[in-house]
Amino acid sequence: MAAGLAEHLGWPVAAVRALFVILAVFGGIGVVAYAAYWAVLPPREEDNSDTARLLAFAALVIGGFLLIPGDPWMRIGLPLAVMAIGATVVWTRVRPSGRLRPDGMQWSALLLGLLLVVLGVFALAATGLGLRSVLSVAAVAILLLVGVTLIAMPWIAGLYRELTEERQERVRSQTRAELATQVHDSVLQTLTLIRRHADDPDRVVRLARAEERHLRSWLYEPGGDPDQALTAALQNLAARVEEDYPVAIETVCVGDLALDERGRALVAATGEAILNAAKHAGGPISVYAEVDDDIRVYVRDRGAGFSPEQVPADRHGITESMRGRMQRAGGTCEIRSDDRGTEVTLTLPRSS
Amino acid sequence: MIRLVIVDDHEMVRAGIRGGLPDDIEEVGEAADVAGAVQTIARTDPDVVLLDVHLPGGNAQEVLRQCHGSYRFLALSVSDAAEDVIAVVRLGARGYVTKDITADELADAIRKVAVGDAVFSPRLAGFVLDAFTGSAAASDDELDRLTARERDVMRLIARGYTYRETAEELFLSVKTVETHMSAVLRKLQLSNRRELARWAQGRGL
Repeated sequence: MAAGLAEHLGWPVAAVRALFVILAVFGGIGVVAYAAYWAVLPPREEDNSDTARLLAFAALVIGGFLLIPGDPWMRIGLPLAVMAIGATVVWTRVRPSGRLRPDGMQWSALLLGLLLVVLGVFALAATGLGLRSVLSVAAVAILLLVGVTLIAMPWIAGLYRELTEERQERVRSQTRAELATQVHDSVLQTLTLIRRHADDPDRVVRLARAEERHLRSWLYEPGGDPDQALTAALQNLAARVEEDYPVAIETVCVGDLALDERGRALVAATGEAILNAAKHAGGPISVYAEVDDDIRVYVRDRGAGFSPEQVPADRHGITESMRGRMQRAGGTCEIRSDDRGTEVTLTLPRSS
Repeated sequence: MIRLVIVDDHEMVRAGIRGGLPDDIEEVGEAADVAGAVQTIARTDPDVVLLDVHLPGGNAQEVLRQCHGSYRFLALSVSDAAEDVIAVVRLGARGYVTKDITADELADAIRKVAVGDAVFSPRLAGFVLDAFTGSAAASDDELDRLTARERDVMRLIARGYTYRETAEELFLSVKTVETHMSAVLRKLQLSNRRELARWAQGRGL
């Protein structure tokens, strides 16, 4: 216990123990205070939830003093003990950093502590001066306090400013740390990968593009859940295909749309179209989505083209994944193909 | 022969562009910052200025403000952020390309800007459609609206069509498509639509 208090006050343990012994000799205040402190001080694990224990021992302390009336030390000792308990209650609620402990009972405990201290001061003064003069002294004390506060204003303001600046600096350094993490996790890793695959231009191009997209989305397009919004979903699709195939995909979206079941079907069909373009056509692929009365998605490639009738029946990619999906969702799928490329147009009415 | 000035703060980027220029485009000057750009442009009197949107010591918009009117600018950027693009176009750039453009496409874009045409990437076309949709119908000012034809042209550009393909698709001549694009560019520069102003102010560029 003494060790705990010593740690809190920053005094040597021996000094605290000695103080208790001295206090104990003079009328037993030390014993009572020891018990009270034991009740009030939070255990090492910073468990502050024992209001009941605190109240019980406050009662015990006061009761203890009532048991030994008339002792001349008590007139001074009682108020002192009450003040000490109050102060300790306040101290234990405050962290070494000067901030309040963030638990539910901090305010009630603080108030209780302050009340005890004020009560102690009044009692102490009243024993020497009588109640009437105590009140006038209290008035003077309050005026004095106001005066001192006024004089100290510039320092207080300065302190406050310093504190605010410190907090801002902390936020800045946190942002810096976040940025460093991001750069480390993405850019540096990718650069290492690129160096290792320097003899494989295809792979290097793919890595660079994927990283660029990643960084860009982090820098310019925060938020956007690919499961919830059309634009994010299409960008996510394009990014994934770019990682797997050596193609460049440009995604342009006008307007956005919260995805429902039908919207997801549209996204799935678009994914199939992009995948087909990446597999069979290669080269640059343009994806354009427009949300108007209808939702239209165009996927255009610059491959050699194909004729839809010549696709073997066992290749279900186009018929099932795209046409079937769109029809079930109440939309259409059109495919236009010639020797300059293929364009898939997916249309979905806004409401079925 | 088209006389070109390249303004970019990265030596590597300038070298890359210089190396990829075809015979009909001649580089007459380079600059790496705002002051250097203004000086170089005044000294060499180029046909086209290729201008990086993000420059140290101010930014591309400062160059556009100081040289505006007398020169044709093509904006170049790594970023696709709408506010960057809209801001430079509104200050007079005749087009916008990203740095991952191929050498051939870049040469094509420079030639177009040199004769006074507009250069729209699919991305820029998307921005335009985005900015001019929605509350457009409420405005009486023709600068705030795209005609149906202009909208068709922008849509096809956004879909990745070349000018030629766009013309074929709409049964128009390439010249007509170019006229529509210039009209859109003009609206982009002069319209006071809220969306455009918002984008242009975006990052305090």
